[in-house]
Amino acid sequence: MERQDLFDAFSSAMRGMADEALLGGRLHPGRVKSRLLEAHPPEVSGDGVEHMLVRLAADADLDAERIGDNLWALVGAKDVFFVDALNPRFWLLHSTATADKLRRLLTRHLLTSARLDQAWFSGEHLQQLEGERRWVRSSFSSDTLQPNESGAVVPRRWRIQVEGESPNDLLALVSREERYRAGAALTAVSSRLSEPGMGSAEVAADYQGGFVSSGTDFHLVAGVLWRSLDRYESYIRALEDRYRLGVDMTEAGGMSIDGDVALIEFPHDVEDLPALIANLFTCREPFRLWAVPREVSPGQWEANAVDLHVGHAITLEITSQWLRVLLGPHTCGNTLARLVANLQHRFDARVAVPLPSPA
Amino acid sequence: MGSQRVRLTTEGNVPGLTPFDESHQAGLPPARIPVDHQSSDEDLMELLPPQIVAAQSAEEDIVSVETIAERILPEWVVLAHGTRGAFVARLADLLRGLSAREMRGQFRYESLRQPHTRGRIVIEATPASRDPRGRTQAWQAQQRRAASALKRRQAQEAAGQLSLDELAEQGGLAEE
Repeated sequence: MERQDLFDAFSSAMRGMADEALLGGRLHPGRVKSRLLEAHPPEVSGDGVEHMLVRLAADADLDAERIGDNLWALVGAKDVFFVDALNPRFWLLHSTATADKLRRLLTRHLLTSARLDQAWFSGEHLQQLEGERRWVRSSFSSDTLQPNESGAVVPRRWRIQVEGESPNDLLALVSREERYRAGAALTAVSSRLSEPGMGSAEVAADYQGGFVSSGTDFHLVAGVLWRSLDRYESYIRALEDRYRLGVDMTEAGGMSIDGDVALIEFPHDVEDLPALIANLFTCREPFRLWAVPREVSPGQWEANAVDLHVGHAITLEITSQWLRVLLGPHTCGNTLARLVANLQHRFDARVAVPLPSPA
Repeated sequence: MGSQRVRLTTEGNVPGLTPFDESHQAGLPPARIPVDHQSSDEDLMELLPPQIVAAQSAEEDIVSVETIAERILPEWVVLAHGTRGAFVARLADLLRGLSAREMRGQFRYESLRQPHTRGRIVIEATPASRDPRGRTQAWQAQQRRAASALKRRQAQEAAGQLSLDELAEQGGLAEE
């Protein structure tokens, strides 16, 4: 099957029509849900992707079938999920199955693998979703990291959706207010896409790399997804280029140390540092960080941590003013991206790691 | 260099090195080189449980002690053959102790006769292979084992109010 044929089938599904002959009617009419995933196949090639997919699919009682050029179908009894791995590290998973079935496949079978993680968009990345903006959603909760937060500096929690004319402007207005700016984290955005002679579509994206598309033409959506993938890949590779710490031997027999320490300066002081330390390393979603932290000097903590998503060791150093992240020479940049995206939604929406702006 | 003060003293006049003594608020410098081959057992032990947990999380079956040494010791690339061997032997002793005490049943230590490879750890159990519903608790049990090995009291998680999303994830609510 050509990629274009698959996009045609998705366009039909979005219009409420489904080809009963295609994959035994498992491609249902309805919205197309897509997820951007970051993968570490055992070999960076189509064969490596296939080896990994066959094992993951078997765990989920699905059959992995190669249906095109770096394109796979994970076929179940009633549903089908497509994996587009043209880029063997950054994959797109598509399906018209219900959101619940897709979530179950991801949380119980795919994202449990240390070789697979989801994308973690910062607010800046979400703002780059193309098209005419239809709505923006912001959600924030300081309960996870600061359960005893007074609410004076940082909102305890909120969830808002702004629809209508120029929704970005209203969220920007809120984020200029001193008492709300720490909570104005961008969680999801939706845009309308149209092109003369092609049709139209509406695509929504959230900060966990999820997309939902409706309308008449999936080809428009596919372009947006590919460009989002490219931007995300650039971001992750830039994090790795700058923040992976490595050591080499010099010609003179000495040692050269490469890479920077990622310094995240907190936009506001941590109110309860012991609580933040205790709640950051609980091994739970979304951070999934394992560590036994220790206070190395008054007010400064060190955590020799493990990112349980991927099984990489990292070091975090934390005070009430800043967080340093020391990546290993092979630590995945997605680890840092996940930390930043989740701190934006649970500590302060303005948290960022210094990098040149994504292209 | 301390968490609030940085000082340089020199004997005599050393070109390019002017003594200074400054106060600062930047905290301890980043631990880019957390240990070297002469570090105490106590400092090396800080880095061993995370290496074992990383191997468990990545579902590695076997890790040689030499690989662990390379992962925790930035100066590994410049160490002489004999120094490497001595360091690997020290790690092997520490790992043997961990596998016999606090992390018993999690991994075992196996001696090997090959040059430079004094041994390897074999992962015997990993929370990563558990049912997702019990996995977090199993990782937290690993934290308690490591805290015991490091003679440290594990910080207690402060219970926050569950969000609607978290309740839904735990099966407490249907779709919002």
